[in-house]
Amino acid sequence: MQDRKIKDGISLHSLQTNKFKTFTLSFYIHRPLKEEEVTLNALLPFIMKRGSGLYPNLAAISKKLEELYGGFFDCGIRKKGEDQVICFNFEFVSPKYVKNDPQYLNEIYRFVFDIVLNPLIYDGGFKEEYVIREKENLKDHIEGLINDKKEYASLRCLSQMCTGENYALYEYGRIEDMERIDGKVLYNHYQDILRSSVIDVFAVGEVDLKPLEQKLSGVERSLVSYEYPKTSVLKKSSDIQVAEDKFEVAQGKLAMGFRTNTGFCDEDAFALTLFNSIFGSGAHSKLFNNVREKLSLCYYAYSRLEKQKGIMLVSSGVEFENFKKAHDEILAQLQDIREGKVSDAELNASKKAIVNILMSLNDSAFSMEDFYLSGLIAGKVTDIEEYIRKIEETTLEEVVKVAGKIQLDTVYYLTGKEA
Amino acid sequence: MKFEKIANPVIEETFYKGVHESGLPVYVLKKENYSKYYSILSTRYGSVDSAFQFPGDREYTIVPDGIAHFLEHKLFEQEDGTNAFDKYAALGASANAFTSFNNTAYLFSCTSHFNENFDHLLNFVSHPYFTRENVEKEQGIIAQEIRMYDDDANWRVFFNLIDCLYINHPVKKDIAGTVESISKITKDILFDTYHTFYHPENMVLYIAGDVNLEEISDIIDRNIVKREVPFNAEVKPIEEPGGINRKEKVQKLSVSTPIFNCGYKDKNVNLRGKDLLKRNLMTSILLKMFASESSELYEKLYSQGLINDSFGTDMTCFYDYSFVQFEGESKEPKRVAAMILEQAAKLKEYGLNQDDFERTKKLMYGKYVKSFNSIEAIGNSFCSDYFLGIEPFAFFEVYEDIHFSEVQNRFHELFDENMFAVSIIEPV
Repeated sequence: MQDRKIKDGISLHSLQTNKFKTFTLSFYIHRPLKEEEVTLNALLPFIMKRGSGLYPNLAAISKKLEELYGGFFDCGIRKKGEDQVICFNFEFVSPKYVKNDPQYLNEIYRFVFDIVLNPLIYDGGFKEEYVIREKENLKDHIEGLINDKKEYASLRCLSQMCTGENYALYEYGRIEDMERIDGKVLYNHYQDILRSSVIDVFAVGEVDLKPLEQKLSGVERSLVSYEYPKTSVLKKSSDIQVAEDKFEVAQGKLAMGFRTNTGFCDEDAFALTLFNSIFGSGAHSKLFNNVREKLSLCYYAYSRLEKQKGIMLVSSGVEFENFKKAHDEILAQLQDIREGKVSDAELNASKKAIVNILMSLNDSAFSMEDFYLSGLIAGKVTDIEEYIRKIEETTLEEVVKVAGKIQLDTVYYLTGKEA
Repeated sequence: MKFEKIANPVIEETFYKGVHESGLPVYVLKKENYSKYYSILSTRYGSVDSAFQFPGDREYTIVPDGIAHFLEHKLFEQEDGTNAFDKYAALGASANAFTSFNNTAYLFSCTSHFNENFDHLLNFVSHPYFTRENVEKEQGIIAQEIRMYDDDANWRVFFNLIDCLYINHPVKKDIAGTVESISKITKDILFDTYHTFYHPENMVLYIAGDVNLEEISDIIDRNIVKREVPFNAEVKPIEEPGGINRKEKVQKLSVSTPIFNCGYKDKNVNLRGKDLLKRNLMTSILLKMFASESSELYEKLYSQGLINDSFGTDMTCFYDYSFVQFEGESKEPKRVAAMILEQAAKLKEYGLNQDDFERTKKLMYGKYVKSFNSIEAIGNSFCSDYFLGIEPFAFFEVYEDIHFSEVQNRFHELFDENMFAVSIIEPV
């Protein structure tokens, strides 16, 4: 990936390659995750998807994408630690596969620039009709979180763990903020963040990037210096918290949140990644083989890391009467790693699984971008080869040590209503 | 094993095709600049195939519902007490399997040790190991899985729609079966079913990546044995009446907003090969013309707040069944369904728009080209196409041959109000 600083706070990361059938373009606007703007940021992509200056409604955008051979466009929000990233992602068939259409690339740029930089404005604000509708949609989206019980249990556990911290905010915002947001407020916010945010632009494919560079150098800037929003690793020492919700469900969900006490850029972050793989990430892991396979306690049990925040989350689908057994077994598996009870086979399989994931990133432009973006935000980009080397060099002792730092913080039960 | 080269100069991709002496068809997509390798071994046996017959038999053999999925789980168990995942894990591969209505597939992807992983795939699928104990243990795990799906609103709404559309066809049954049906599965039934349907002639193998064809041939030779008897099981033909089962089905589950699936049962079935591909491409084009974000219908529904961006369309088909669906969340799903019918009636009267057709055709081309970015996506669609008699790159020939007038005719055929049903999940 080649990095070029275009302007203060605006960088273009590009990869010229003919490997893919497509050309991808992404814009990432970095905002601190905080109460004052979380809902404004969340709403923005929803509004900007509805229409732009040249393509003033959904149908116009969609028709243009169809004309561009089924171009893909989406915008949304990604939460990376306490960075609430506003994302615009585009993907188009490479010009080389589109014959007899000399204006194709120009049309792509025209479309992309219009969506990102030329929003639809009425009377100095976003179109009120769209704002009203999208506020409703966002509200439904937030209320709809309970539809996916698996994901809902994870979210509830995370927000319980980080009570009082910005990380507890849901990246799609809060219903109570919506009332005070109208088209003008939101448009002012858009103009403000366009000037004052760190912006990363990614381009992967075999195309001329000059028009893109030119356009980006025209974006106004308002600050003296630009920084990525910072995330602090979760630290506290309290009793283990327990939370519970009741729903009409046949199967329970158990989520367990742990503090890893390890930051993204710490030297033992690689050992933590390896630990997580041994513990609960994949069919080779202890959770899969013991909690699911050996004891038949649940249909799924896995762990995942929120690396920027120093959190590990274990998720599991369990019958209500097995909650305690599953909970105890998950902790017992953690204890085994702390005591060094990890076979060579487990260690090697875990290393290979991580290497496999890392190498696979090379085959998807969007995955490559996301990996790179996480590094940029944390302030340390490790390239894929280097990352693989670090994982391969990690010893069991280092895994045991990092496992010793992990503390259970919160246990969350999603359980059934009494009949 | 001999391979025939099938190159496509337009998108610069090449398949190699061969048939192993055991009768197993093998397709290789060469991807020289990819880090990843991917392989799927798929058998033409799925959840709908629960009644079959051998030549000379008078009676049909009936097996418990959910057996294809049960077999899929059970094949991972090895005689030495390990799980097939263990070896994949030791080799750094990411492996999985799935059972659909018509196929069961075993797959892996890796970025190194391809040959060993590939050898393992062929080896473990060829060596079933079922015991009374391991069958009982699996009944516990799968019962959990079934219960998980019982709470899954998106899964339920889909199966309830199929239940509305189909009267007899087993496509309406849950893929995993029921807790009751799987309790009847024994190791003997598993072995019988396995030996019948996991026959090289009833399977297909797909491989993608920067692989060596000779090495692949050797590994196949080592693992796949020619059977003494040809594949000869006949799945009981299903007598599905022309109409639909019921107009509507509503279930209550713990969701915030009602979700819906509604759609049409297709009368145009029993096609194969290019005819089927053409019907499917036309169906896709139609669904997009009718209900994509650029359509009049979408605009109406969205601006009235009746749908959100979860709204979409899909189609499901095999030789003998085919249906299309509109899906999403809505506070008033019945109004959405009514507006779909109204819009269909209106377009039947005034006709479809040719510009919409031309644009959508461009989109279909781009979508096909793009799919070659993902060796997994190509593999998965290749396998389901294969069993329908559709060869790689058949797309181009069929695509060129799709005309507006035919799509208009297809619209009248498919969008038949009498074949329309609605499934709704309401909040408790």
